[in-house]
Amino acid sequence: MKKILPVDELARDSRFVRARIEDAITDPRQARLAERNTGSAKLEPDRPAAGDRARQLMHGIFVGEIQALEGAGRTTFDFDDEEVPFQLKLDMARQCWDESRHCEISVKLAEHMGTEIGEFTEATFLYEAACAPDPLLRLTGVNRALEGLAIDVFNTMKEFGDSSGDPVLAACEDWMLADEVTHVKMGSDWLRRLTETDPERRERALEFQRTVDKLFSLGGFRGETDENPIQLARRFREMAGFSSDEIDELSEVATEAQQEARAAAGLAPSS
Amino acid sequence: MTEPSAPRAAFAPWDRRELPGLFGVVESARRVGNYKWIEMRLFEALGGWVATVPELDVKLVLGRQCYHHAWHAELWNKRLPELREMNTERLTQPPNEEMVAFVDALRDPEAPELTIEKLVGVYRVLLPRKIAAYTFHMNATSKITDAPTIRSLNFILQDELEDWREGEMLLQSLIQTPEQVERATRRQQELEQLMVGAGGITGPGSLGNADGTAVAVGEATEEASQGVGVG
Amino acid sequence: MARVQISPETFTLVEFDAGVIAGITEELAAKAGVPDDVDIRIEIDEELPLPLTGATADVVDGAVALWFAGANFEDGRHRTKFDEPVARTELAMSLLRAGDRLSDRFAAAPDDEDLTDGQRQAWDTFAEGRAARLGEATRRVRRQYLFRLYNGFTDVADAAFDRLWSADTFTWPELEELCARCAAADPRPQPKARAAVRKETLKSTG
Repeated sequence: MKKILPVDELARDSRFVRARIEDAITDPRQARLAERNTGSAKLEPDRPAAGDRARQLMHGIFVGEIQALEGAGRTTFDFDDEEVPFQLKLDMARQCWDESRHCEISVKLAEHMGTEIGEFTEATFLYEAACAPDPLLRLTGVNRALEGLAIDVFNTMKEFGDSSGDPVLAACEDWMLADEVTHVKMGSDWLRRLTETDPERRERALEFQRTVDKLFSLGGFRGETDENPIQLARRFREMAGFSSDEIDELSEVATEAQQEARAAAGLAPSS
Repeated sequence: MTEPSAPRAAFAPWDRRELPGLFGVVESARRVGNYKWIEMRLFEALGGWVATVPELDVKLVLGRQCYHHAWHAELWNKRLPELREMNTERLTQPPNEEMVAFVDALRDPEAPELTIEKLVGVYRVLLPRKIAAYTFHMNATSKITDAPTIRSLNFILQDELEDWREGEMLLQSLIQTPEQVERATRRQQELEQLMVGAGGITGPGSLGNADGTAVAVGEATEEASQGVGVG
Repeated sequence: MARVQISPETFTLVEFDAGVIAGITEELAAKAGVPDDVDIRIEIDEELPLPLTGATADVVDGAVALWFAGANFEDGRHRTKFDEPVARTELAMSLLRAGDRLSDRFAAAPDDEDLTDGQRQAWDTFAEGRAARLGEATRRVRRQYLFRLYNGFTDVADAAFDRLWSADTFTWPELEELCARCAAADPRPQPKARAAVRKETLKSTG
C-alpha cells in the first residue's frame, strides 16, 4: 500500500455519488437565489424546508465523518516512526475510532430522519485537507480546520435538535460535539508541541490552516450572521484551544469568503 | 464481627498462584517489545486501509479496531520501562527479518477489490498468531512477578478475541463464491508460509520450545533465562 | 387548450421537461380522482435547488393550481437532473390534496399558505400514505420525521401519524382536531403562527 492516497482513490460503494464543490458554487441557481429575499439562512425549524435542509446537512455530516475517519487513518499509516511522535500516532488511531463511531451515529440519525445513504452527493474537499505530505500541515488541516468546522456544524445541528424538540438528534450531536472538541484540542496541543522551537514552521502551518478555513467557509455557508446556515461556535472553539483572536480572524476569513462568492456571482457585497 | 488482630495468610486459600515462571525480566521485555512493534504495524495498516475499502461496514470496523491495536501498543510502551527498558525504541523491534517480510506482505494489498486479501491477512493469519503468543506468555510467565504484564495481556486478549471474531464474520459474509474461497485460501497460505518462516510473533519459541523453555532457540543467554524456574 | 399547463414551458436552469411532467400529471390525476373536466395548472420555480423543497396545492376558480419548488423534482445525486420517481410522488400527493379540496370533506380548509406547519404536514402524511397505496415510491420515515418536526416528537404525534398514513378518508375538521391534540401533547412552546411555505421566502415575489 502506498503512502498518501489521493482523493480520487477513496473507496466507495455504488450508492455514493461524488460532487465537486465548484459545481455548487457555479450553479446558476445559486446566484438567482442570492438575489431573492430568502430570509435568514440559519437552520431553524420555522424556516422553509427546514426538515429537508436538516436531512441534507445530516447526510453531509455523514460523508464528512467518513472522510475524517479516512484522513485520521491515513495519518497513522502515511508517516514513519521517525517522522511523527508515537503518541501522535496513537492520538490519530483514537480519532479513527471516534470518527468511525460518528459514522455509525450519523447512519442511525439519517435513518431517524428518513434519509438513505447516498441520497445526496458527496463532496470530498474535507479529505483533500488530509492529504498534505507534511504531518504538521495535515494536523492543522484536519484537526484544526476540518474538526473545527465539525464543531460549528455539530453545534448548529444540536441547536436545531433542541429547538425542534428532537431528543435523538440533540443528544447525538452533543456527544459528537464533545469528541470534536477533543480532536481540535489534540490538534492545538500538537501544533504547539511540534513547533515549540520553530516559530516559522508554526506560521507556515497556521497559514495553511487559514487557507483551508477559507475553503471550509464555503462561500458563506459558515459565519456569524443570519446569512450563514452554519454558525461559528465560539464557546466550543475556545474550549478546544482556539484563542479569541484566532476566532475573530476565522470570522473575518468567513466573511471574506462570503463576499468573494457574492462577487463571483455578480452580486453586491452583503452588509 | 471480624477480629482485626487475627492473622491471615498472605494468599487466600483459593489463590493458587505460584512464583515460578519461564521468563526473566529480559525475556519478558524482549517479547513485549515485539508485541509493541507488531501492534503498531497492525494499527497503521488498519488505519491506512480504511480509505481503500469500499464496504461501509468493513470501513467502520477497521476504524474502530485501529484504535484497539494502538491502545495495545500504548500498554506495551508503558510496560517496557517497568521491565528496565528505559529506551523503549530499542526493544520496539520485529523478532527477525522474516517478520518484516510478513508485515510487508500483509500490508501490501491496496486496491478496493482486495478487501478479502486484506482481511484474511489480519483475521486468519495475524490475529490467531497474536492470540497464541499472548496466551502462551500469560500461561508461561510468573503469575506473581510478571502480574502487570498479565493484566495487560488479559485486557488485550479480550480485544483480540472479540476483534478476531468480528473480522472472521466479516470475511464469512464477503466470501460467497468458489473463486473467493480460492482467493482467501491462497492468501492465507502465502502469509502463513511467511509467518512460519518468522517463527511466530516473537520469533522461534513464540509458543515455547519442546524442551519446556521459552527463550528463542540459539538465543538463550544467562540474563534472558534467569527467570526460568524462579519467576 | 390542454388540460394540464406547465409553467415554464421550457426550463433553462434545470434539466426538466415540461412535456414529461404534463404526461405524468395526466396519468396521476386520473389515479388521484381529479375529475376530467378540471384544469390543472402547475408552476415550477426552477430557481430553488435542493434542499429548498416546497409545494402548494390549491383550487383557484375551479382549477387545480399547483406550485412546486424545482427541488421537489430534483435528483439529490445529480444536480439539476429530474428524478422521476420522486417527482411522481410529489405530483401524486399534490393532486390528491387538490382532489381533497375539490370535495366537500375539505371545503373549510384554508389555502395552503394559511395552514400551520403542523396541519400542512398532517395533510401531506394523509396524501403520501394514499400515494403509497396507489403504487408510487414513497418515503414513510422521511415523512414521519417532517411530521414530528411540526407536530411533536411524542407518542401522541406518532399515533396520529399512523392514523393519517393509513387513512383513505379524512375530513378537514378531523385533521384540524388531530393536530390540536398533537399540539396539546407537545412540550415545546407553541410555534409562531406562520404558513408552511412562505411566499416571502421560497416563492418568488418578482
